Amino acid sequence: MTTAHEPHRGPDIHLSVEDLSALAEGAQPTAEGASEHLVDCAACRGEVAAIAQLLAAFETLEPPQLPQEVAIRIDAALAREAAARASAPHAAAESATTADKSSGRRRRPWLSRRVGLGLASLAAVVGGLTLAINLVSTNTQSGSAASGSGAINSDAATGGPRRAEGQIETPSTLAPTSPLALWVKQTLGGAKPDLEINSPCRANPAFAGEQPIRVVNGPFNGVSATLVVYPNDGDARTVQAVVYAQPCTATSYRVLAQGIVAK
Amino acid sequence: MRARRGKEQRARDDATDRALIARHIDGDPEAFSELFSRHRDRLWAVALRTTGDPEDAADALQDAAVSAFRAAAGFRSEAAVGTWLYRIVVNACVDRARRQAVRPTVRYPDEQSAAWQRAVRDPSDMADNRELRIVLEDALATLPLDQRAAIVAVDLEGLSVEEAAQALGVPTGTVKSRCARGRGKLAVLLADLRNRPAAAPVQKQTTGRSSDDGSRHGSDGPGVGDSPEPMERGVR
Repeated sequence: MTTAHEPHRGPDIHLSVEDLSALAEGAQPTAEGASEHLVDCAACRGEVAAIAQLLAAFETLEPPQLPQEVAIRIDAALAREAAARASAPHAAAESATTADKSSGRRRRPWLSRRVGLGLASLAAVVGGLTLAINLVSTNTQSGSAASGSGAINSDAATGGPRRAEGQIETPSTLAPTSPLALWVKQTLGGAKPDLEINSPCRANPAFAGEQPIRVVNGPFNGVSATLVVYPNDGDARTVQAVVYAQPCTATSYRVLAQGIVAK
Repeated sequence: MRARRGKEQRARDDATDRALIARHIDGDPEAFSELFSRHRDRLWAVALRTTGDPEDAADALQDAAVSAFRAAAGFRSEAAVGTWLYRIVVNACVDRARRQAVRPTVRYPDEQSAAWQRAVRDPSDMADNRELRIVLEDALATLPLDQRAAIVAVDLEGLSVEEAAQALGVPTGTVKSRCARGRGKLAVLLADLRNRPAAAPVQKQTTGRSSDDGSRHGSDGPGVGDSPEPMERGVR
C-alpha cells in the first residue's frame, strides 16, 4: 500500500497528515471539503485506512511487563535516596535553628528566608551537582553583587564542591546592567513568548512543579545557554531567572547565572 | 490497552498520590516508593517504547525515579501526579537519547539480551500479538524522538491530547501534529510490511523462551529485528 503522493501538498490537492489522522480517528478534519475530497481520492482513502489499521493494531498491544530486575534496581535506588535523606536533615539542622522541616525544602531553596537550611539540604540532596556550587556563590554576600558576571561563573566552575555553611544573606535584586538582568529584560519585553522550547532544564528538581514565564535559548557570555524565567512568589515586581549551559538536562546541568531580576 | 479509567477513579487515584507526596514531605521513608510503585508498570511501558531499548529504558526509569524523589518535596503541579511522573520519565528518556546521540538513530533490539527477552514476553502467549508488538516497536524506533513520544503518550498510553501536552511540555497543537506525522510514517511502514510477498516463512521469534528464562544467553534463534523478514503475519 505504498501511496505515491505526498500528503503535504495542501488541502485542495491532498489532505494534510493532520486531517488524514483526524479522519482515521473518526474526528473532524480541519480543511474545508475534506470529506468530499476523500470520496474522490483513492490515495487519501488508502492513507486514512492505513492509519486506522495502525491505530487498531496499537489497541491490541498488551503493555510490556516491568522486568523484575528493573523493579529491584529502582527499589534499591529509592531506598538509597530515602536513607540519604534521612541522614541529611541532621546536617542541615545544625546551621538552621528553629526552621521547621518541610518549609525550608518546599520553597525554592535559594529564595528561602532560611537560605542556609535550604542550601544545606539541597546540597545534601543533589550532592556534587554544580547547581549547589553556583547557589553558594550567587547567594553569598560578595557574590550577589556580581552574580551574572562571567567571573563568578568561572570561579564557581573551578571551585570544587563546597557545602553551604553558616549564614547566607537573602539574595538581593541583581544590578540592571548585569548580563543576566539584561537578558531577562529583553526576554520579558519580547512580544512572543518562547515557551514552546521544551527544555529539559525546566525539570530541574529545584524548580519542579513551577511553571516558567519564559524559556528561551540564546548565547550567554559567549556560550549557548537556556534562560528560564520563573515568577517570584514573594514579589510581583521581580522575577527569578536561571541560565543553564547547553546541553542541559534534568539530571545533569550547569547553572551559569541566576538571581532575582527587576521586571 | 487504552482503557481509560473513569474520571472519578482518576481523581481518587490522584488524591491518593498527593497524600503519598504529603507523607513523603513529612519524612515518611516509604511513601515515595509506594507512590512510584503505583505508576511504575505504566512508566516502564513509556520508557521502553520511548527509548526503544530495555537497557536504556531501565536506566531512564531509574534516573526518573531518583529525580522525582528529589523533586517531590517541591511538587506543586496543577497536573495529576501521574502526569508529572510521566513527564519526568520522558525527560529522562530524552536525556539518555541525547547522551547517546552518537549511536545510529535506528536501533534494533538485541534479541540475546535477557532484559529484552523479558520485555517482549507476552503474558497472553499469543504469537501474533508478540510479533505485532515487535514489528510496531521496531517501527516506532524509526521515528524521531518527539513524534515517538507523542504516539506513545496518545496512542499507546491513552492520554488525552491535553494530558499528553502536559506530560510532554508542549502545546496541544504540537502533540496533534507530531502524532499525525508519526502515524503517517508508521502506517506506510506497516502497509509495506503487510504487502511484502511472503518469500520466506515467518520464523518463530523467541525460540526457546520457556527454556530460556533463567539464562542470559539463550536463544540462537533468528534475529528479532535485524533482518527485513517478511512480517505479514504480524499485522492483520
